[in-house]
Amino acid sequence: MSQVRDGDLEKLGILFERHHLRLFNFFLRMTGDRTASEDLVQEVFVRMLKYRKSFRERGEFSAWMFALARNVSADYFGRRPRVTVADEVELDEQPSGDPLPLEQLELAESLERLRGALLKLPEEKRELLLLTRSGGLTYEQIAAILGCSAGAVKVRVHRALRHLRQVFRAPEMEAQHGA
Amino acid sequence: MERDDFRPEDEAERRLWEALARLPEEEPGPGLRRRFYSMLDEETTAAAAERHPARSGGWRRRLLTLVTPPRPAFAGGLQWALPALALGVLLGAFLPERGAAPPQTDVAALRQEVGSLSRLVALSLLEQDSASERLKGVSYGREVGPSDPRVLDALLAAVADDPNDNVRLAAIDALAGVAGRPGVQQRLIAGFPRQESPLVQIALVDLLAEARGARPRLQRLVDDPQVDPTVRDYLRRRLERRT
Repeated sequence: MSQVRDGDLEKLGILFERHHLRLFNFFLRMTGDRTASEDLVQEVFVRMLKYRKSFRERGEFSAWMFALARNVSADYFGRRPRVTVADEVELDEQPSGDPLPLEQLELAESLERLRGALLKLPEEKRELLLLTRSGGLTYEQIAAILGCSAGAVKVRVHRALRHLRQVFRAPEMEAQHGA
Repeated sequence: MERDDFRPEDEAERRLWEALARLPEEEPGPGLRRRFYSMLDEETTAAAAERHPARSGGWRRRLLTLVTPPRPAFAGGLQWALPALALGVLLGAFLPERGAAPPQTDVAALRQEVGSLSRLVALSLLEQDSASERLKGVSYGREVGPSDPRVLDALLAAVADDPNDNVRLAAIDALAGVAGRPGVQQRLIAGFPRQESPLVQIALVDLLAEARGARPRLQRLVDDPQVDPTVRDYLRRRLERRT
């Protein structure tokens, strides 16, 4: 990226080849929309060129890229009404020692359900889990992007994960109540 | 602090945490790569023009800049602006007086004129020095249709000889509708070992693997030592997937 910043724009092609898949999957899991995700990846690379002077030598490229991606994502969601967001719940009241509903997570069907559950999380929690688990960033990098401490990131990740677990289990709970 | 520091509270959350990292990755469509390199070429050309304004001159280039849309990736219907303008002018000249129905022969002639004009623009753009102009040429060529013999020939020549990988990739994409023709397959396969970019070779494999009748020709490439081993491996897997 330093070479791109210094005027060798064609080097951006190398960065595209290395990172576009990761960005595409980040946006796909954020939006659930393939076409929109391709547009958003393109927008990140457009912004990389536009704001290339803001890249600092000591800064890590992945963190800078995801900071741009996060802004692009915020613009996208700011322009669109939220479709389905699971209700915020009082997490501390939820039991944590439930029987495991997740034994089958290896199965494609369960992973598909997990993807659906992610899409029902509030945008901020979904983004945090994706940055942590598939963005390949450390807590410190995420903390720098979010402007908080690494400890605060961990707390938020815990909450997001617990919320995800509740959304993931919701169909089973409904079935139990209905039975 | 590393990501591994995180400790989920119980077994259920641990499974969920691990599953999040195992979500299967999906591939974007080929249009993303094409749009990215088109954008990059334009930005690179614009940056070069800023550094060396004199080199970006030339009456032919300036004329083409005037008559073609500046950003084909976002142009949408604009890329038909020139043919539409030509259609308007020709309609004015050809249409009979009010009340009389236009003869069928005149409409056919108009259509032919517009098609010729688009083809002319496509062929001219494909001869430009700038890679982004040639990309526009490929885009026009796709609109005209690779079934036009001169456009088809120009697109095949672009795949074989264009110095820019992105133009070659776009031209391969534009040939999707005619990849089943034996003549087209023959030329693409003949030039295959000369392609230096594995990306271009893989795009050719993807194009031909879906085309009817190309399998025996592709099979020969699997054993061709001139072909990059990674590409040969990809080709082998691609052919196995089709069986």
